[in-house]
Amino acid sequence: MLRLEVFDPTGFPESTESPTYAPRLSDLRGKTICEISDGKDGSMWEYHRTFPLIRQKLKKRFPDITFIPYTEFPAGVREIDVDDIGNMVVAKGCDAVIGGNAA
Amino acid sequence: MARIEKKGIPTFSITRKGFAGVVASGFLGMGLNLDASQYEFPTEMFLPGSDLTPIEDNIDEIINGLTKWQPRTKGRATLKPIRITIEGKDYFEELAKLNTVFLKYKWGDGLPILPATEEYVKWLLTGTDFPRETVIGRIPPIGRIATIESLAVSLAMTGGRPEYMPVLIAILQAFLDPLLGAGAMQTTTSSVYPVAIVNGPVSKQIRLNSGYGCLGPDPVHPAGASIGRALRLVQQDIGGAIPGSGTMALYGGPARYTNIVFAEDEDGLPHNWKSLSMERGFPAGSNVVTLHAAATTSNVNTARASTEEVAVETLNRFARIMSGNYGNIFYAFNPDSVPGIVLMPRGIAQGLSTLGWSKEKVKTYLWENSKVPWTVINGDSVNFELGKDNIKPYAKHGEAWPLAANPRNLMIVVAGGEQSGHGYWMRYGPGPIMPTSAEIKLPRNWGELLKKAEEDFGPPPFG
Repeated sequence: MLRLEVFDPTGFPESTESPTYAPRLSDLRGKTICEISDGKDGSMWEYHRTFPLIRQKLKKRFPDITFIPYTEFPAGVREIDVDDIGNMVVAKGCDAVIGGNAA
Repeated sequence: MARIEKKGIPTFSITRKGFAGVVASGFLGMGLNLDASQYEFPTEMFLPGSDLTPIEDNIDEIINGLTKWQPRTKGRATLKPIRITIEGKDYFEELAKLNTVFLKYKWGDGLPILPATEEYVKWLLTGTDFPRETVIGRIPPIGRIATIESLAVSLAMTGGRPEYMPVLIAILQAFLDPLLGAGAMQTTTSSVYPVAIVNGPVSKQIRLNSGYGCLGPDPVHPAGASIGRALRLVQQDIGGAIPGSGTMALYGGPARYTNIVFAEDEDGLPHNWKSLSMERGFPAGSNVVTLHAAATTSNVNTARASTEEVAVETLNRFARIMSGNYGNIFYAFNPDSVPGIVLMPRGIAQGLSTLGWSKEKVKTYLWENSKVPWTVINGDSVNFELGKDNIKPYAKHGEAWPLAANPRNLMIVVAGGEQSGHGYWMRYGPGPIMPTSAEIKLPRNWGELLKKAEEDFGPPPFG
């Protein structure tokens, strides 16, 4: 039986650094939720209808929740794909972010 | 969203059905895991005027995504370099099994691959002075690391030769230049692929085509196919651009198998026309690769430049095709964006030059005459809305929209069969913002590599 040994083509091995996702909130009461949209000018998806509906539904469950709408942030695929987007969210005092679509 | 997570702010993504893999890949590419807090909603919900009931029905998914969701894995394992061992009763069986295994792991492309053995990879690495462990960068969207060794592995799979390595390395350097926007190119729903144009003596030395059939297969000039396919395997195997999960191009397109890698026909350049690399700031005679991307291409028929009248007709044909297929050029329109690549064979370029058309004059004419009429763009609600803010400095309300901010932003490359008769237009695809260039660095043993190539193939072909 012949043996052929070949390289794995998927690149250099990864580091052992453990990535950290943000901890989840205990609940949404009293929290500030920010909205980020990769769509703008009416394209990509129905953010101008979806976000208000989400606000309405969440407000019903959590009356003291507040929202910073997507209009307060850059919008568009390239506009939100910037290193500074995290800083913007922090500066606005967001406790959590809902984004779309497939952003 | 991954950037926001890394700032300690939990996120939730409203994801279109089928895009969960792309979103997770994006998180992985940003240094997290292949995981994201998200929910896939029906595609129809994202269409204009849609029924948003799925949002109401799944509001708990959004709440849980921000309060309860946990990533499936907590850390990243050290992935030791692995070798795949294939056993077979003979070489044919080994090769057949190798191809099956590689498809099973989604490392192939449906065409036969060659085995990237240590011996083969070592041979390819003689084509560069970079140590094999030199990091080229992270390939989006999933961000795995490409090294010189990884490039040699991909090139081995496509049957490459050591003298191709310098060009492949330079292409990856240009690919990872942030100006190109490779991440968007990799993941977009548009069927876009890289186009690499090589200048300098290296083109002929490695048998890269600049003439007849330069964008397609050619047994006399095999370098382009091997290098371009190796790039595609890097995009897929290291970058994770698998159709439907890493890359969402609806069609992909036949050019994606090998991308497009060709040379400018520098021998055919009119004496007063600069080469592409010189226009991009490199000294004459430099070995340079310029990378852009194409989404659609058109053959420009009946293109000649025998007389002034015929030349103007030809340029008008180019302009009409450029204008008629503007795609979403205006979406990423900016002061430096390049809307595509105009290819002219030397017969047309020299004819134009003889008639007194400098390259700049050709660009100005094409720029002026390829503007998209107001009636057309105003009737295209999506592209009008996407582009209207970008175009404001360059066209007033009611005026035709130029494809570029400036005529000098048009890219004209002399290439193709020597005669006149046809030209080519390659319109850029969404994602890449503008072309990038990288110098091709040759190894110290370049002469020896070329001598071996000549032993194998005979003298380099003329042109």
